Amino acid sequence: MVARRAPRPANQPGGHATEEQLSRYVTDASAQLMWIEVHLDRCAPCRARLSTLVHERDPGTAGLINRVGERLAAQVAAEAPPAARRRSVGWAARWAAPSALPWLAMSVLTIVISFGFDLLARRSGAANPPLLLLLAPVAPLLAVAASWGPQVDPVHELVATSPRAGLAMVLQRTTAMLAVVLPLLLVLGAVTGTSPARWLLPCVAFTTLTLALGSAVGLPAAAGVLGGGWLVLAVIPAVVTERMPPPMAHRAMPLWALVTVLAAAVVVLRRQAYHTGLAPRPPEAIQNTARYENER
Amino acid sequence: MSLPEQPAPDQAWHISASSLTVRYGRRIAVDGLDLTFGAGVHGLLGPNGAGKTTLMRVLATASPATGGSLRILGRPSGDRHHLRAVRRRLGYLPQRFGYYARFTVREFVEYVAWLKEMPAADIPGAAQRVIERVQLGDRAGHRMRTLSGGMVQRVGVAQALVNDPEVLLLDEPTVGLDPEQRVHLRALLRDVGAQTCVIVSTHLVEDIAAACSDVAIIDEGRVAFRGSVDQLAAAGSREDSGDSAVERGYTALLRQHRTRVVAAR
Repeated sequence: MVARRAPRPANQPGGHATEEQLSRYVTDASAQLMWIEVHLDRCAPCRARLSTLVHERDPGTAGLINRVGERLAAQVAAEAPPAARRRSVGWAARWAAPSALPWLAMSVLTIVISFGFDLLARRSGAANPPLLLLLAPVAPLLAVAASWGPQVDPVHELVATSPRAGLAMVLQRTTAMLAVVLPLLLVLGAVTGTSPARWLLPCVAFTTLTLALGSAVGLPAAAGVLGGGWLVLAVIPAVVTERMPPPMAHRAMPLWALVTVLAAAVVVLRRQAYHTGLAPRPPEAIQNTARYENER
Repeated sequence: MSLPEQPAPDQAWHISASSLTVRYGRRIAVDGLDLTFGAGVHGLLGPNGAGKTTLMRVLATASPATGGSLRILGRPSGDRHHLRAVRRRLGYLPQRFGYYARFTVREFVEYVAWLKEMPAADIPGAAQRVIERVQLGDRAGHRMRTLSGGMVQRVGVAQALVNDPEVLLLDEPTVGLDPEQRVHLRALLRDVGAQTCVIVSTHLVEDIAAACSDVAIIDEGRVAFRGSVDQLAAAGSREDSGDSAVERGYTALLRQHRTRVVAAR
């Protein structure tokens, strides 16, 4: 971030430091050459040239660097060899923290919600559907958010104070849960002659689509766009016509399934994007990440 | 690291609170605190129920302040825009440290590193370093459920350190540790405190004497004393109860504070 703001001399070809600037940096301690330090942080070729210059012009500093280097090398050699590299927890495990009680709670709640919706829809018929049914795309999200509360999730306090707490985490956990619960409900529905899975399809489609879109435009924007779309395509038609809106009809279900598969493919392909978090990325956030990475 | 610090307002202190108040319903848990913390190890001492944990939770962004102002790393605590950036730079060991029993030590610490949005490539190395720092290197592959209480507590310290935090908040970190582990943890805190703002909440006076550079005594949500450990030790006299100078200083300061509060009413 500073590199962009720092004044860059006109005589600086291609962003690299000139010989003369580097030698002033080495010999003149009073020189105001902050931008060179910033540049050196990022530019290996210039660091190499600086190292040559230091060894030529400043034997005192060169000697100090060599002594520190030797001492460090001895210390590293004396320490135990680092543990063998092993695979860390995969991204799938991180999306779905392994804690039995919250998992059970969110799965059971979601199953209850889907059967409840199915029952409600059967009772009312096609005309004048209860508006509650229009909550289908978000109802499981509420169940998930409630299931990872402080009473159920042992790590809640740590999660809630982490930068990752928020919409992204709820969506990721919902995706993980629905990937398990939806197949189960398809079987249960076939056995009992009901169709509870139908009420989860819009949710799984919306969740994966929000994550897919969010990896490009940021989650709040993605959620806003999709929520607005649902309002226009489903909620308003349902209120105006007092009938089940087209997106909730039986014949729309294959379409939801298709959307889900496509969005899930995008999520898998872009999984690296979720590692750094899906907040809107204003320039400042990117700068902070760069700064964070520079410090390490 | 030669980049100048990110320009943030009021960056002189890692944490600065003025007239900070926290209410739970009608109960006032933190009552108009004025406190600032910079780099160093700061002890937060006080009787049980004094408001230490409430204060720690507010500093950790786990619960909101209800009055006054609080700046963490230069940002107002209610500032949602910078909340994520601030949280990346915090480390927190809650009073009741919970964990996923199925995770190994390494998996758990790496999971917290992921929660802190650390760059993926840095996570395995950072986790290994902090696990070794709390002397659990030989247990890294063991599941959390197989650990003793003291080991779990040390995993709690490791997860708080994994992102190299600028503000480290430890709520009763020495609970469950044996004397040798306690000594080691205090040394670790002094080491970390050289560059970091470490706030240690405890009701054990000997932790303060051994690890902290300065002390704040909290009683009924108010600051009863703020000063160096030496000042704390010098405050007591032979008549005060306690087994050490620091303990006698603590009881004397607490008594004086309570007398002042009663007189003010």
